[in-house]
Amino acid sequence: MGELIFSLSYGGSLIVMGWITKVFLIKMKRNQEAIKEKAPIEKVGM
Amino acid sequence: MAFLIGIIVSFCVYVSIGIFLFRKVKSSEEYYVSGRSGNTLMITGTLVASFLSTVSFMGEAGFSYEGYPILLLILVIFNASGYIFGVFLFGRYLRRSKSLTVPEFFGNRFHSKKVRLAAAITTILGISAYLVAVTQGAAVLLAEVSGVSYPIALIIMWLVYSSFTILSGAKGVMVNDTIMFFLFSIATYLSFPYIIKSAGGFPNAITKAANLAERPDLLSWHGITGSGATMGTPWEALAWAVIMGLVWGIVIAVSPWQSSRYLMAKNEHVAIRAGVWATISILSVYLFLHISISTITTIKADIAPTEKVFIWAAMNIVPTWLGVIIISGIMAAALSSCSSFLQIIGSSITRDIMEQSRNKKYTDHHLLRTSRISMVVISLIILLIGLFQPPAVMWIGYFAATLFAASWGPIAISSVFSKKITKEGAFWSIVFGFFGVILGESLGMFGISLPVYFNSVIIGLILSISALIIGSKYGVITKEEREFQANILQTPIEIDEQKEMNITRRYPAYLMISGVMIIMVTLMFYYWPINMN
Repeated sequence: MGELIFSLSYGGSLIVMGWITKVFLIKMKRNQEAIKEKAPIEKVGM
Repeated sequence: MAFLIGIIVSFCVYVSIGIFLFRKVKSSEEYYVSGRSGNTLMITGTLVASFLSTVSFMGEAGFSYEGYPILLLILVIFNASGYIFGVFLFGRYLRRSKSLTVPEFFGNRFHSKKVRLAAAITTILGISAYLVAVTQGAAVLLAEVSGVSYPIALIIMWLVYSSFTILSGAKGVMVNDTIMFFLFSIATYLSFPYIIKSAGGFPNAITKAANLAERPDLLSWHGITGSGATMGTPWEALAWAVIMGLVWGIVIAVSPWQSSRYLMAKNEHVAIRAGVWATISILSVYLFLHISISTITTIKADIAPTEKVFIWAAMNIVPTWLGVIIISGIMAAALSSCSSFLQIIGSSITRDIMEQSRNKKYTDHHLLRTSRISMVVISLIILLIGLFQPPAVMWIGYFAATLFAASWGPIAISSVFSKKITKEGAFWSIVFGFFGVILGESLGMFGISLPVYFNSVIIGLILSISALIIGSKYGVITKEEREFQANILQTPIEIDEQKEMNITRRYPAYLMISGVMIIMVTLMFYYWPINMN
């Protein structure tokens, strides 16, 4: 049983990381849109 | 002889690249962070290459061969996630700060020379110990392959990585790291079918390894446990893997030799994409490497010391051409880490200690020259320590690396997101974390053995977090600190942002597709063969 859980979890961790990356990117996009609405300039930030 | 020629050719390539790029390095920014011009491939290459070393291909391979391949892979599940959390929670903010070193980031964030100095000293001490361990591992390999004595091998190794690092700085390190990343990845993937074939072919090799009398439980999820084994009970073994995996995840997320790679990224999207590819690379390289290593037990179960298992396979059971690639690949993994470590130590000594303690700002030309001189001196010290200290590849590496999880972990994340942390809290957090790990390790010398859930890193982490909270009750947060934090929290918008974002948005899918493929490989090359009886 432990071996099956490992077999699914090892690659499964990448699927979870994929979802986490997706959430971070959505948040990043939202931040950028908020900045653009405030100051519609070509390049901001550091 | 073929192995030696392969090593000499690869050494000549690395040194030539260093000499060629030496002429292209015109400013300190190019020397420290490669002019912040790194693309996704190069940042991925340098992230993975500076992480994998002789600790991975020798120390961990030996540990796996002794009976813990799956336990090590469980550890990797947690540590590889450090790339995703690291780039999103620390790396991209570090990049936005435009610092040249990570201690400089901490110093500017808390507007404090004291914090910068504490971060620099921990960097120098921790990475120097790790550099000694990795250099020694590579020297053991070179001595084994070439027949030269260990001290001569150590001197050759030192000459190679020091020369191209001192000459070309981060620029040469990044290019060489990328080449080395390809070399050891190819070595790992190509060796898999050949080692399996030599061990009896697929699926017999894996089935045999799972039922080997000399290594009962070799391929079970917990490895060899019970009295006399390295691990205690299966659940203690699992706790060790999870805790060490989380600790290594923090190391990947915040350690200077990993997070500083994001300083070289062309833009934030490149940093994020490199973090994704590094996660995929680490999980796939480890899977293929450790399944291969476990089947070597069926061919020869008494390789000693076990750290030489992959080297033994390269010299005895794969075709010579592949053996040459494997040996050169292991050497590349060692050299890439050594060069990154030396570059970081040299940069920190010059920029964070010498420049700050003398209270003067070097000119760009002076900074470049002083950095090179510092690297020559520190590399000589490392060489001398390596000559007089007996080699212990895995455990010194583990100890030195995990120092950063405790001393830098809490402060790295809170420096980005917390508005309550003061410079006092930051300083004492670094100090207590560092000495907490050393204290925990020292207890072993007095015969006190700690349970796995309370090992030295956990002690360091608890002390570091406590010091951060208590210390932050003292001192005030200045205007400069607030402004710096506000600036790094401002999401940058590139001129071609839409195009960049469209590319980056594909990356979650790349992770998920890779995940499905790795599940299929694991089921086919691990779960199915061990359950055939």
